[in-house]
Amino acid sequence: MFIKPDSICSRRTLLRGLGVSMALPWLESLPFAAATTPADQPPTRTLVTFNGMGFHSQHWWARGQGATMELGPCLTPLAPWKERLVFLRGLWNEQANNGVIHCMQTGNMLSGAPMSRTEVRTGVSFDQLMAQRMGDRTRLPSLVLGCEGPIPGLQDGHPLLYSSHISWSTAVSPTWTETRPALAFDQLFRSERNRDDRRVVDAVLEDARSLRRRLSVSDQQRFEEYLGSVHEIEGRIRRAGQERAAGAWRPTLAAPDRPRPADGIPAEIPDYWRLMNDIVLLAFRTDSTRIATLKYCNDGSIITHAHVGANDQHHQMAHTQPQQLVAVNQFFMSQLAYLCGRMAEVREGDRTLLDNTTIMHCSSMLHGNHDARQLPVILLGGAGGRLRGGRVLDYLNAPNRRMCSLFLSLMDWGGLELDRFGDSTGRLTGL
Amino acid sequence: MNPLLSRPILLRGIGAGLALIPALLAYLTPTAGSAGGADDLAQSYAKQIHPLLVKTCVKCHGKTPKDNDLDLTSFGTAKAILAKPKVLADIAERLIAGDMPPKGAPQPSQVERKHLLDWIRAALDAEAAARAGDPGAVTLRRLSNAEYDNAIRDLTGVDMRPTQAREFPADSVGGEGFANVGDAMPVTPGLVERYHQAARDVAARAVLLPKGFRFSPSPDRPTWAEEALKSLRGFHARYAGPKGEPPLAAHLTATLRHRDKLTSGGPGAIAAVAAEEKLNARYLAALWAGLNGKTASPLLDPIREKWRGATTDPAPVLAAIKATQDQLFLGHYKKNAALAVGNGFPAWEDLRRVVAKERVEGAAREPLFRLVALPAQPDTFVVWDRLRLEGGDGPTLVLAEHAELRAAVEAASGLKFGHHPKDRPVPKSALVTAAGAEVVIDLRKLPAPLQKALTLPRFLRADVNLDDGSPETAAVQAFLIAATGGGGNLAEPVAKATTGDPRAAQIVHPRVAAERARPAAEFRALFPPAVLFEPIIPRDAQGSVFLYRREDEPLRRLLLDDAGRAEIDRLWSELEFVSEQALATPIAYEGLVQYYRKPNDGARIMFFYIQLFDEQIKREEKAFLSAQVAAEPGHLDALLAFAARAWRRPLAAHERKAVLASYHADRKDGVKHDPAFRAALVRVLSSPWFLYRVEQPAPGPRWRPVSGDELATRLSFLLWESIPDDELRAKAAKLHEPAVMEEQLRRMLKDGRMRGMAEEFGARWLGVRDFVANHGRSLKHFPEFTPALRDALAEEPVRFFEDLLVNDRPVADVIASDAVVINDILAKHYGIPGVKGPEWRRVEKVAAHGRGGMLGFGAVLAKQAAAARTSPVKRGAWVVQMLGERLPKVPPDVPPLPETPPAGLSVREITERHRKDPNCAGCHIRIDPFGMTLEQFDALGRLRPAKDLKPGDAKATTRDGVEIDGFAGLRNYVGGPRRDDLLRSLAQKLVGYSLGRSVQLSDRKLIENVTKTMASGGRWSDALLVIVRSEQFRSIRPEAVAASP
Repeated sequence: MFIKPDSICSRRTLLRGLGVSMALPWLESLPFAAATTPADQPPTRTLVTFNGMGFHSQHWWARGQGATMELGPCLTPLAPWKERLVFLRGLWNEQANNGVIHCMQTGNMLSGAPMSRTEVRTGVSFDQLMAQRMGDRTRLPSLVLGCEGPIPGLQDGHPLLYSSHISWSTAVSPTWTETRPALAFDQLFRSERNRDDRRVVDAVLEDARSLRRRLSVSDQQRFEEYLGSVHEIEGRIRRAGQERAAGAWRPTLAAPDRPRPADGIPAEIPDYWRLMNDIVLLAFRTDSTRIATLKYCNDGSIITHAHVGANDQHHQMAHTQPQQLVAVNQFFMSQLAYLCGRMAEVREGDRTLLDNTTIMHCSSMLHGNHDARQLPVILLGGAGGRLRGGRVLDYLNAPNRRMCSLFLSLMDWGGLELDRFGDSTGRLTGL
Repeated sequence: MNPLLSRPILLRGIGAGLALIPALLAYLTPTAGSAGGADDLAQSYAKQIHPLLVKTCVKCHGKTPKDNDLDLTSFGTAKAILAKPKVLADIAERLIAGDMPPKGAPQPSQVERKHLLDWIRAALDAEAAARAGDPGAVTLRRLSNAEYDNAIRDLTGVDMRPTQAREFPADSVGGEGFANVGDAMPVTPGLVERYHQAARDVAARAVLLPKGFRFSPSPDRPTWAEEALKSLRGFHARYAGPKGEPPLAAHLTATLRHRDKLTSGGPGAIAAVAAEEKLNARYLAALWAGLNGKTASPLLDPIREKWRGATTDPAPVLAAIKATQDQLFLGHYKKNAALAVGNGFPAWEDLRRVVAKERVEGAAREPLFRLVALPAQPDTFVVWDRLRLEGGDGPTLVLAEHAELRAAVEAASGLKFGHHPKDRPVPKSALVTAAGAEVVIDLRKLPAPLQKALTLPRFLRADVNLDDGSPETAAVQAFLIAATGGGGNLAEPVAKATTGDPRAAQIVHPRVAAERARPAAEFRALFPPAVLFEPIIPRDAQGSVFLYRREDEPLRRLLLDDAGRAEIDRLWSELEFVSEQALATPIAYEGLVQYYRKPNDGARIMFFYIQLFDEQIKREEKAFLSAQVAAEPGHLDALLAFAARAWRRPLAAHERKAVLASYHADRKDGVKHDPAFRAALVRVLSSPWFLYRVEQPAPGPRWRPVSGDELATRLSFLLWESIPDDELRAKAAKLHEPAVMEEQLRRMLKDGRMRGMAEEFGARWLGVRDFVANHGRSLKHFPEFTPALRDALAEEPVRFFEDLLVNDRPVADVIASDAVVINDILAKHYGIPGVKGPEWRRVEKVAAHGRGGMLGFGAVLAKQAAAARTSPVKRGAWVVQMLGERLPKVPPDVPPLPETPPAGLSVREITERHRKDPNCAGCHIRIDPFGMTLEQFDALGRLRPAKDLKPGDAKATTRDGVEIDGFAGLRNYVGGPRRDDLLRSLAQKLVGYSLGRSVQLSDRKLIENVTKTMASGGRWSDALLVIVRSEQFRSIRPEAVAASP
């Protein structure tokens, strides 16, 4: 025997040793540089939307600016909103080009983090970082919804978890992505709390501490995601009793203006997606949360969009690129047009909800053949007066074209200013 | 091809972590003398191998790797590269496959290639041997959804599937493709919240019992009481007929049929006959003794006579018994009578009672009383002692003790208290009448204050007996009548005096009363018309005080042994405990009192009756409350035992204290026992000790055996996907002993819980565990793909594996089986005749129908297809994968096949066209032949009709040159020349599933042993035994290296 067992050391251990892997946001009490809105002003909301497998390779483009801006066929549903639209060309996520298609391109969509090939491990996504750092201002730190459930299984040995989760609460745990409208509604408005909650959580934490002592070092790290989750719940119980301060800005709705949706998932895709959009709107209007992520479909989506005349599953169409794919892509954009329309109707002081929201729509590849060297990204809304629409920005040949640089700006607008995030240390120029 | 895209994809194989494919394992199987010494290997690496690697690969894998992350120059020493055995394995695989270095790049010579491969083989051999048995790095695992649901099922006895009710996130898979791998088990606040909710849901279903607790599918107390009632009724039904009647006819028949044997056989004969006839020995013995009684008994003797004269037909005997029963019993099952039962009166009233003294009563509405004793007899006197008004709204008023009323009664009746017409001694409080006389006491003219003192309406009562001087042959029936009209029911008990009224007792001389009561008593004891009150709940329960009526003395005496009595007592005490009736009764009582205590009318008399039970109700309530308190410590003990089962280990003293801490804190805050107990239960099930499979890392530098409890948990989760049962827990300390392990494995294999492994190993191995959700069928194209068909297709592989495992069939049956396990829906789908009904069954000899084994599952054939058509590529790739081969990634920019074939072309033809593309041919020559043979099946897995297949459509030639045709050909090929490959791949999966991780180099020997066992006709128990006795299954890494690769 020429190798001692204890001399064997994996890359994983090394990374851990260097402290790369786990910073536990909920344990940190770092002050954040707050570009915070005054308490009597409406806050800026952040919404990330996503669809899998990009867009038709010929028909995703925009040219010109302002009222004369031209939109490619995929984008036509957004024509009424082009002056609120910023089309970003050439951004990329470098780490998404190192791995197996679909899963290795999608799990790090919002974090820019490397993805482990030997276990489920990537980085905390920026929406969840915001939720962890600033989510205690609302009852729910963030709302994470999806219109397509995860597909269990492996792709070349990699869990498809990666391709169905863009929000990650910790490096090893994707954020629970609610796909049932009724349960999403319950997250916002139903409080199933009772006096035992606190006691159970305390007891569970006590058990967790003694259990942790029994674990090996690596399992202790694995176990942090459980501890973090329990702490998160502890925080929710605490926040459930908090009242809004006097004189503070009041949301336009104090309570939901619609009944709880029926259990189950609506049979028709357009009804289903619209309902999920409505729940996001409701969350923002009631100020239940200021951070939302809505994944319309997975990468590798197996939905067949028969409602626009498609015969094949979306995944299949993304490869073959029939003309019907444009109709499917337009259907995605019509969701955003709907959101813009509804948000523009809501007056918040001298602005609208759309003015006070940043919407980023993205996909993890430009088109269906897994090309992640540049990504399709658009921004909509006013970011609380900080974002000017009607522009096309081309970063393809810019020195900094990192998605994480864009995320830094989105976080700025949402009220969290950081020096660095993921693989970026600076903001995009000209945004 | 876009160079930027293609290179990383080709290189991905090197970086991918899961490198051990079975084909490579086969190559790595040690050959004699191949492994050199460690020093030799290190020297030859430094001198020859590393330079050769650098020379061959440096163009892309140098200091700055080109489009990949592998720098081969960095591995300057053997030690360095052996720290990454997967890199070595990958290099070997690429060299064997011949796709590295890529075409066009300078290739190593044959000698160099061999040199490299030999060194890698030797090095990996040495490495594998050095670490053989390494349990590996098994990431901390929480329970998967399946494991959670099964554990709750086995803990509670109720299959409540909380992960479905609370919509837990779906399981995802890792390692070798199974859902029990820690790395693929994310934990989020949403999940933890669901854990807590699910724990609350379970705790809400705990049913506290006098001793311990059980669980119910329902969280509602009324349902729990229903369940207790159902158990009790089930017990009743085992002994008595639908009206509570004893099984008299059957037992009587047995006494006739086996008369000789019973007469001559001695005491053992009863038991023998009872066993033979499946009768109750106790009851048989009682009947036998009664029918053969030697003491004269006036009511039994005629029946004995009939019985002696009977042949084997019991009818005449039964008729005689029935006739006497009608004389002696009255069953209260009519409406008002049932009301009586609910208010505390017996369901079966004795008629024609013979007594020495009787409490006679009548409802007194007005002060006009009549005392009647019938019939008239010479020299017979009736003593009416303590004539009194009772019940209602006043205290007991003994008329003789009230001076004014005493005088009034004497004046009105013409009788005197304490006076006998013959001047015989009588109590001072008694009136005496002659038998046959009727005395009227009219007090209606009394002054108002005296009238008021009577506080009517009430009961008029007296204790009646014959005076001592009466003849011993005398007998009277006595009546107190104080109401006009009505009569016959409970509200107006007796309004008329009738000679021969069967409900009025025969009052006889005290000296002979016992003797004269005996015949009826003997008959009643042996031949009750019912042995229990079958309805339990009286018919008019809403008008009665008591919800349940227990009447089962005859059952206990005639039919139950000690165990049976204990059981029925337990069932009753559980019913009473669970229903909390004793707490509800006082409320019902108060309500009824309010209702009946109305002004003077017939209903008011009911108030007098229920008044009788006032004391009893209070006593029972108090007793119940103290029973509840008495049960509390037992509940806490049971909770601790429950926690030990849930946490799969004994609890330390401080943990026992911690489990109960929340309970005691709650109680201190004034919370009642029940909610405090439930909260503690929530705490046990929310604890990470339940949710995580925690194992103590080995101390010291090397791996060590896990504890007995940990090993038991590994075994039960492997086989049952659930917690250990009591027997396994009891044997846990000895489970490392091979014989004990084998005994437990064999026992557990026979258990229905093996469904856990059938689902989580079998169906996942085949790739169809998620078939219901992700079948991919286009419903537009296949309207016949109904939910019932979908569910049946998904169920079939699970049933198939269950059959393999539980019946311990040969492992190779996965391919070689000539049987299916199907129901009627699948039989129709598959065209297999003769299968009726929805139950699943094994059907043999199905090869003619194109089924048998893994290749014939409709679910696999349908899932490995495009939405609207078949896909030879998908099916073929699936077969390739099941054989353990790895396929390179699909290159980008390859036009996929159209979903619907262009006109005039078959799926086979478009697939063949595709294969002509040289970019594609390399892989498709491996894939397509398998898929082509399965073209016999359509996209729903049905056999295509012969007319839809052109000749040769299902024919193909494999890459190794074997001609195969159709399902049968493929099955012969996979089960023939490729059988070992299939089994090696299965063995690898089984090892990975068993260990909860990817297999690694050091598992090679184990996998080979399992493969050999499988290939030599081994059964599932044989293969599993090899694994569960292996070092890696039984041990755990030390903390220090727990994270190594």
